[in-house]
Formats: sequence, structure tokens, C-alpha cells
Amino acid sequence: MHEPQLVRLTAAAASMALEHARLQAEVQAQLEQVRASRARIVEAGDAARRRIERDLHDGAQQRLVTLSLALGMARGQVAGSDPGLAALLEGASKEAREAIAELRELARGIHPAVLTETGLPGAIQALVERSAVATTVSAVPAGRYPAPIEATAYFVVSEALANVAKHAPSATAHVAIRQPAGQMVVEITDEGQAGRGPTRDRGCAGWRPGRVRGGTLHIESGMGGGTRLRAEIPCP
Amino acid sequence: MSVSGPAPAPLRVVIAEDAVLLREGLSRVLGDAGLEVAGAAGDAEQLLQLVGALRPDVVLADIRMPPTQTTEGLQAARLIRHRWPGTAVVVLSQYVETEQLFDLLADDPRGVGYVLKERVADVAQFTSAIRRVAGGESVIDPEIVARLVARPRADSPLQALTERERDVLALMAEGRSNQAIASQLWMSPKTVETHVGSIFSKLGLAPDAGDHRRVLAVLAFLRQ
Repeated sequence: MHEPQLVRLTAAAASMALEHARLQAEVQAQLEQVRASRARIVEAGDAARRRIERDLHDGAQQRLVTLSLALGMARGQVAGSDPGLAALLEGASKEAREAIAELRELARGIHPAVLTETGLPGAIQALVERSAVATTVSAVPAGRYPAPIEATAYFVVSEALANVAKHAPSATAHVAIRQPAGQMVVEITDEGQAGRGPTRDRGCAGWRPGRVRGGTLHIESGMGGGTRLRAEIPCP
Repeated sequence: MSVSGPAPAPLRVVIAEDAVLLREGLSRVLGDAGLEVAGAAGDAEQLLQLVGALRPDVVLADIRMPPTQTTEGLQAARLIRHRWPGTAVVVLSQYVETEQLFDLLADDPRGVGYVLKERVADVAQFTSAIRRVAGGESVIDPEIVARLVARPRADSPLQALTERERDVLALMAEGRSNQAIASQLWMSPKTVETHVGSIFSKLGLAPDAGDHRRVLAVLAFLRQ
């Protein structure tokens, strides 16, 4: 081979390698930007949910309670003198009561105040108290963590319990949240429904194994029909 | 029963609520119901000043108040009980969660009430709750208790309770005395005692040591 040709080929190869490295670095940089912007979007979403919950509480809920009190006072004043009006006011009071209860559920679904105020132990306890399936909790870290991490762990448990309730309503669910170095690991297991094999649809429609907030989500269906859901969330 | 002598002094109440309309409404209904509203505060700091100056029998405090709208009322309630023991406290909550409730009761459940805020609409029931708390009882909102009693459980001794025993258990968790349970469920006090004994032995709880401790024991059991 002539030397000039060798030089040309070497130069071409080198420039290809350089170009490759440059493109790779560019892709990597773009990926980092996408990751960062995804994290920002998620965090902005969390903050917005907390704000909406607070606005609902300090605005609409507060007004409805005031309205209820006014209706209660009005009922007291007409008591005995106008049965028709009393019945009307009673009906209005009942509507206000139900609106308050519905608003409370709506607000907690958007973002539970108990999570912001007391952290994971109180919030997980609240989930267990309202879970439609029997649920036991074996571990929840007592400390406070960055809000997005607490919120992710909370919503993973919330969704997983709703899923067990839907697909194995007579099962017992077990919740464990542990915090090994650098991670928060959320596990929800259930032993499944008697008579249901692992081949049956186990639900989890919105639960593709994959990523949760920069972490991973695994779902395993056991032979007995039970399910183990494990989320690993990076936690500095 | 008639007792001669001067009429008892009305209960003196201090209210803490940041929403002006609600605060004024509360002052009015409590006044109409025969309580003396000694003062009304718009935040926790003002509440503490008023309680120190007026030494009321009962404090009625919204949990969420300025500046942070989180748990100011609850913290103030604990501080008041610590600083001025014997002052009864009713906190108004917007939530059915039990974490805060348990924190508040755990210090000493006597003269503590935790009720949902919308209860203010039923004036008769609400003032009766305030009077019970002022009398040293504990008052836990029935909806919170109902949720705890009804939630599904696996292998719990609660499943061994009869329906009647569950009714009695719920009323114990709401802070009711045996006598109150008897009149509410149309039972003789003797029957209530029998049920209470049976509940405690089925749940494996230490025998009933007065109404105060049993509220805590029963609630702790229900939260497990």
C-alpha cells in the first residue's frame, strides 16, 4: 500500500472515530438535558399539586364550612315555626356536608396534606386506614426525605393498593419501605386470590415495568397468583 | 334532679380560627348555646396570648392557621395543655387521618377533642362535644372511628367480636363513658360492662383502667 493512501485511510478512520465520539457526546448531553427537564417537569407537577390541595383547603373547603354553619344557624331560627323551610334548610345542609366530604377526598387524592406535614409514616398509615384490602406495614423510614421522593413512594403504595383491591380484593397486602444506601425501596406484595393462576390478567394496566422517577419498577407475578411490586427510587 | 343554689357559671371558651366569617359565626352560635366566648384569635400566637390572659375552660382551635397553614393549631393545643394543664382543648380538623389525632391524645387524652370541622354545622351536637371535653372526657369524631373500625383486616381478633360488641367498641373509641354507651345503645350499664369485659379479653387488651386510658388503648389497637 502506498503511503499517501495509508495516511488518507488513517485520517478518514480517525475522523470517523472523532465524529462518532462527538456525536456520542452530543447524544449523551441531550439525554442529560432530557432527564433534567423530565425531573423538573415532575417536580413542578408535584409543587402544583401541593398548591392546589392548599388552595382547595383554604378556599372552597373553608367557605363550605362557613356556609354549613350559616345553614345550621338558620335551621335553629326557623325550628318549629316553618316545617317546610326547615326541611329545605336541612336538605341544603346535607348537600353542603356531602360537598365537604367529596372535596376532602378530592384534595387528598391530588396531594395528601398528611404527607407534607408528617412525612411517610403518617401518610402510609392513612393509606392503610382507608385501603379497601387488609394491609399490613412492616417498615417505613421515620425520617424526612426530599418531597419528590416521599411523593413517589407514597403514590406507588397508593396505586399498588388500589390495584390489589381491584384484582385480588380478598387478598392481604404487605407494604415495606426501606432505605438502603442511596435508594428508597418500596415493596408491595400480596399472596393473590385463591384459585387464580399466574396466567390470568393481573391488572397493572397502567403499570408497565420500567422507570419511576429515575428509578426502576419491577412487577412479578408468582405461581400462587400473588404479585410483588418493587420500586427502587434513587435517594441521596 | 334539681339542685338549689346559684346557677353554674357558663363555660368560658376561647376560639382560634383564621377565617373571619367562620370565627364570628362560631362566636355567635356558642354564645346562643349558653357558652361564654371570652375571646377569639386569628392565629396561634394570638391564641396563646389570649389563653394566658383569659385562662378559659375550653379552647377551640382550627388545626390549620397562619402563617404556614399546616399544623399551627395542633402545636398550639399541645403547648396550651403543657403550659396550662386542665385547659380543655377541642381541635377542628379537615382530615380524617389519625396521625395528628394520636399525637395529640398520647400526651394525655383527658379533656381533648378532635372533631371534623364541618361538625360546627350541627350546633347541638357540637356544643355537647365542647361540654364533654370541658368535663374531662375525650371526644373523637365518629367518622374517624367508623373508618378505623370498618377497615378490612386479616386474622384480627376484631373478627371475633359480635356486632353489638363492635358498636360498644366504636363508642369507647369515640371517648364515651359506659354510662353514655348504655344510654346511646339502650342497654343497662351492667350489660355494657359485660360487653366491655368481653371486648378487652377478645382483643387481648389489659383490663379497662378508666375511660381515658381505654380510649388510647382502643384507638392504638384499631390503628394497628
